[in-house]
Amino acid sequence: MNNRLKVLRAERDWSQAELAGRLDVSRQAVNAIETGKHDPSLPLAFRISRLFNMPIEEIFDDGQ
Amino acid sequence: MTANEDLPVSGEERFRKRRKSFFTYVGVAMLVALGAGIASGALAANVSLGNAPVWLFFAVWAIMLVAFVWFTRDYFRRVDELDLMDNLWASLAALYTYVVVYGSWYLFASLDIAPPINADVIFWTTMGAMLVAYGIRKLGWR
Repeated sequence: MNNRLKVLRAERDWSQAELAGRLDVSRQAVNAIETGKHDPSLPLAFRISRLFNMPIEEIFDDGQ
Repeated sequence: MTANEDLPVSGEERFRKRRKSFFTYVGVAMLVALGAGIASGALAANVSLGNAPVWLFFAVWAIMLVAFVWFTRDYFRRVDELDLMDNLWASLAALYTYVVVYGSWYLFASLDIAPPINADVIFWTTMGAMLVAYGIRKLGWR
């Protein structure tokens, strides 16, 4: 699944550790999501959505 | 911006605290496990020599079993969803290894083309498969 997490993080000048701390996950989890190796669960996707104040579908794209 | 972005503690600080807390937790758990292993070994030796009652050994064994189950549950509640996935994949790899190694060995041994089944070899092979699978996941090969 494609996502804009890396772009959104860069726009705020956040490191992966910064984002991980705000989402209460490991830095590896942020990296895996950014590189598309891990699709976040629905609760985590909502946390990401709330953190960036954007709808989930504007952050994640399932290609459909 | 959301309220989450205005927290007094930065994300990096929270990340560092979370990581330190987690490694402290794992370190303490390993020390407790080491202490329990040494204590149970000493108790087993005393039971075999007749210096301690057998019921005490079973009581300690039951306590350790409950503690092990509790720790496993608590550990999985602490890790994030990615590490949970890594653990589940590693457990699946270990289960498949166990089924294949035990099943194959049992078959070959029943045909007298392999030595009798050795539980220690199967146990450590299973543990090894779990560690390898977990390591591969941790290296990012998902």
